[in-house]
Amino acid sequence: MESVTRKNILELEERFGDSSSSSDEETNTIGNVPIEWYKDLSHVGYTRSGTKLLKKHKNGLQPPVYVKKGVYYIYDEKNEEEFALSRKDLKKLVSIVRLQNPSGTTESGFVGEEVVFWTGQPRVEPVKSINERKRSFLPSRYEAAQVVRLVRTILRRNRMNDRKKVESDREDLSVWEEANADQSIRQLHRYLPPPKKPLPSHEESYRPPAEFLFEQKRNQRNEEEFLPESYNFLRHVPVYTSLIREHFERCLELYLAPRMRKTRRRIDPESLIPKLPSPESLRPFPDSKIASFGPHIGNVLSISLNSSGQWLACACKDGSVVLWEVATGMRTMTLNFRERLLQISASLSLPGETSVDWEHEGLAVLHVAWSSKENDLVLAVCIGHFVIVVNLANVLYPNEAEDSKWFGYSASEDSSSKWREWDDKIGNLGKIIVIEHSKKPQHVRWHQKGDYFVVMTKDAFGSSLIVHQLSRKRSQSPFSKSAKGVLTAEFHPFKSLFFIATKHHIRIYDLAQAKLVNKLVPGVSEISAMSVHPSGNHVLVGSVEGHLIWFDLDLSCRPYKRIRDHNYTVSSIVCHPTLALFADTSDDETVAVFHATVYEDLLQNPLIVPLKILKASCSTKGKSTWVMCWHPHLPWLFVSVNDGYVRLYADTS
Amino acid sequence: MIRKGSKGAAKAYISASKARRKLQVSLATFQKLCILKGIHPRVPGKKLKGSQKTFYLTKDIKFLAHDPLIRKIWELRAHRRKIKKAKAKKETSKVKSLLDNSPSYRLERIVLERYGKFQDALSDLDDALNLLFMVANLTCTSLISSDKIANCRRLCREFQKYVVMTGAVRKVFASVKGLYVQVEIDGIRPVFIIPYRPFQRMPEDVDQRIINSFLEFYECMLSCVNRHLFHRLGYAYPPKFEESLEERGLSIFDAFILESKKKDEAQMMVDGSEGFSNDTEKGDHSNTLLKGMKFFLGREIPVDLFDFIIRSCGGEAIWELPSMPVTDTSSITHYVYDRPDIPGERRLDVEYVQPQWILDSINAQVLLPVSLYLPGVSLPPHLSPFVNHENSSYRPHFQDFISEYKTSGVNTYTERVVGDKSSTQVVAENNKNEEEEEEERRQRALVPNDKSEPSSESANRKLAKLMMRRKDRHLYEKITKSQKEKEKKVNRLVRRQKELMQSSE
Repeated sequence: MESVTRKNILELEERFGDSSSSSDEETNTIGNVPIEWYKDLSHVGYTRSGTKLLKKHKNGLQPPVYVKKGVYYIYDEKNEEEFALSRKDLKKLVSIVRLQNPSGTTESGFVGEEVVFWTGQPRVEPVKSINERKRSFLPSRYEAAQVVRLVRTILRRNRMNDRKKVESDREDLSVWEEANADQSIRQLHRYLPPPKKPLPSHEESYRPPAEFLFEQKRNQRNEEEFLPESYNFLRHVPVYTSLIREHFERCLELYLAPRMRKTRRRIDPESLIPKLPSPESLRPFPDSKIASFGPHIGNVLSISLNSSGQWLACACKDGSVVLWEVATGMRTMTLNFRERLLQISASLSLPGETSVDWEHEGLAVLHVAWSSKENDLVLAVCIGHFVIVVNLANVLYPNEAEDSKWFGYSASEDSSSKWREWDDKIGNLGKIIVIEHSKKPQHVRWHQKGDYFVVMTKDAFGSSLIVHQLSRKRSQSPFSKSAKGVLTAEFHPFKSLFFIATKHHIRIYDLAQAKLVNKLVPGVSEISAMSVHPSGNHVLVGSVEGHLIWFDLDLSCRPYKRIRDHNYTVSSIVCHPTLALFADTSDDETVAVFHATVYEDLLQNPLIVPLKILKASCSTKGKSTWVMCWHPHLPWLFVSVNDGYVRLYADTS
Repeated sequence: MIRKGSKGAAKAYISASKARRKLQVSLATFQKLCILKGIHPRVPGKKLKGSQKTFYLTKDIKFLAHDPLIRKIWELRAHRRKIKKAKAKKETSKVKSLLDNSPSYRLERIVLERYGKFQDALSDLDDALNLLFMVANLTCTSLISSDKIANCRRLCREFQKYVVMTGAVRKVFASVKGLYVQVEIDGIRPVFIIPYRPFQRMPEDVDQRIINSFLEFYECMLSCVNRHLFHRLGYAYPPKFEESLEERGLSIFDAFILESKKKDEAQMMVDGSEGFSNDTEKGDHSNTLLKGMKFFLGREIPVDLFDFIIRSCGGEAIWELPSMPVTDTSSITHYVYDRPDIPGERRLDVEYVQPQWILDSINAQVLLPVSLYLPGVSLPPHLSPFVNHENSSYRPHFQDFISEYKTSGVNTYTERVVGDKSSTQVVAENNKNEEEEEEERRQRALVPNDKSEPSSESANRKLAKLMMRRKDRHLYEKITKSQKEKEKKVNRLVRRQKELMQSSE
């Protein structure tokens, strides 16, 4: 708005619309200071040059707009000027007062009827000047989707209700209603029902009888087992938490445990014991001690009874052999081989080194054996490195002097250097044969005919077998390699077979053809003894475990019978030459006597019956090795216990 | 020519892992299938390759492979994968719809398949009842949901309801483990354990998946059995159970509302007094031992259990609740208390007993003298009714007393041992070490002594034993050993009995 003086009103009216000219001629320079501050002063401000502008109207208050002579004026207090208002200005003022556009036009620029946007009253909806979008006039796609979803939900719910109805109809599916109506249903193949849980006994009771309760000490010992407990009141019984686990374990059993049908027979344990003939019906057999021979000086290491059963030879530890007459129980003579051997070695100028050994070792007679030929009184004795063969016929029967010199054997010339003959003048023994070995002879086994005998020699490096022939004074070792594990060897009673026992096997050789015939496998940890049955078809083997193993050679090379009769190593087995008896002894100081009938018929198995277990109360402590031999005709068993006595067991009933 | 592995045991049996591969299922699913179908491993007659393996019958596995159940299992597996996929893609609506429409299967057909006759199911019921009663007393875990527990509880209650209606209880035994109950249905006598109170927690080393699988089958089986039993009685199944009545403290057996099976009869029978008397009139109730008796149960007694037992023997039981005191005391004939003193005034016209009287009377099938079971009196021992003493040299004194009481009515059972336990304990503690030695000496004395002169018979037997075959010897030793152990146990009991008798005298 331009400042209008009274003079230029008309002029202004003509220059309508010119609003660009600003009021440069403003005289008061106080700025925006309230005019009231000058209310009481005589001036109203200052000019540009600093001189006071004096008040023109003293009477002060003027209305802002007033009419003077039909013209509207507006009073500017600051400059103390009056402005005449043209009609247009007035209109503008009016529209401003009415809160309208000062130009008087509508918002859209058109002059016309006014749209009142602001009425002065606050409204709920804000007043917007943005145009409505197009989509607000179109049907909503989101809502359409919602409707579709709702429809689908309703449909689904309906469907589900239908299905539930079907299911609830099916819920009435009852099993077993029509008896055996549905035969076509297939069942599990060979179903085995699970075994039932055992029913509880008294000890599970909350108040068991007092005899079921244990003392406290027992409680601590084993926590695994169920311990009966007693409560005075039912309300005192605590929650049994293991019940869950018990049921769970039952579940596991039901689906995890393999099942099988087991026919549990009620077996009477007595029926398992084999039915054997009573020992009483198999008499005679030795069952009690009737005599004892002794005492001997030192232990008896070996005993032997000659083929007639009259003479018992006992090998003693002191180097002597004692001869007993069995029928009378008399000590007939004592042959001291140690002394004899010393003489012999002196006269025969045997190698010095061996003679030195004798002194050390004490020269015990390790083994003694009568020739097994009928009416032959030839005795083989193992002492030191020598085997001495003596014919005792002259000595024992001095009246019958027919065999005065050497007993029927031709003294062949080509005897090896090992064989020596020596005439015993002192001891009245006649000629004796001394065979020297490089190793120590352990035992001697005679052939049935009394011509051959086999010697098992042994030293720290191994053992070997040497076969001697008396008639030709010849030695041979059929098994060139020293068999380390050879324990014992024996001749077949009448065939040309030879049995060799090693630690794990029994080998049977044919001596005529010189080849291996059979090999027996006892299947024990170690063999300790062997004996060939007089029939020749059976072999008895003792083992370290204390088992006695019976081989039937006609049957197989495997054991026919295994008898656990001892707890310790079986030390020796002897078969009776004529009667159906055999006995074995072990380190547990017992002798087991058996009856063994062997049949000619190949289809019939041998009958083995244990008859008696003999126990000798032996005072000596420590390891005791017992030796035995049978009487050739009678059921008499000689057992030497290492207390220096030889006992004779016989049938007393 | 017969090729190896084409005939015989190699063909008839299949190892577990092979079977699983054949069925194309995971191990857990295979286990579940085996549990549901009742397929169990077998012992192959002939030794097969791999002695450590478990073997199934090939026919069983083939049977399983053709079962509709395995198709459902495959479907379920595919369904699980779909859900997993949708979840990974965050398609929530799809997940929801998939969850809603998961395939389901029912096991009734398998129940029929496994138990062709109702009797077969009954004879296999004890395992089912054991597990269901156990789960009904569990607190819910991550795998065993509360719904499942509630369902088990419902099934057990329904079964108990049937037992109550027919009076099928035969023997009851309060054990440390829980209450053994023997019921008789169709001549078959399943035995099951009801725990006295709920279990607080599940042992950690128990595989709940396996329990769950068994539960799934047993739930279905028991519901089938219950349905059959209820239908036989002419009632609809499942019977309605009024929860509000139970909450009010009434017996759960009164809270059942039985409807007649045929809808057209439209005769509703609210069980309770009328319904129950109806049954007894029919003569279904075979157990009338406690008939006409009304028991008041003290608050320390497990009410549900004793309510079940008393009702199934023809009696009635009431108990007091803080919200519902008993007003009509005139009809009560017996007060059952499990504590030393009797609360309140003592009435002279009624009997006071301990809960064991009920159990012992049921087992003896005769009402035993009440004087032995007065509250506060030291009770006679509680004997297991499942033990038969006919061939044994040991017999508990109380058993003798019961049989005497039955025949001649002797009712003076002198408390021989249990009463002064303290004195016997002192004696026993003194002889703790000696006792063991003594026992051994006694055992040795029982065995014929070697040193004494043996009879020729025994000597012969001993000799004949040498000739036994190894197989026979092992068997013989096994038998004699077990016999000796049994004898030892019995001898111990007999000896202790004598000792205690002497010390009490």
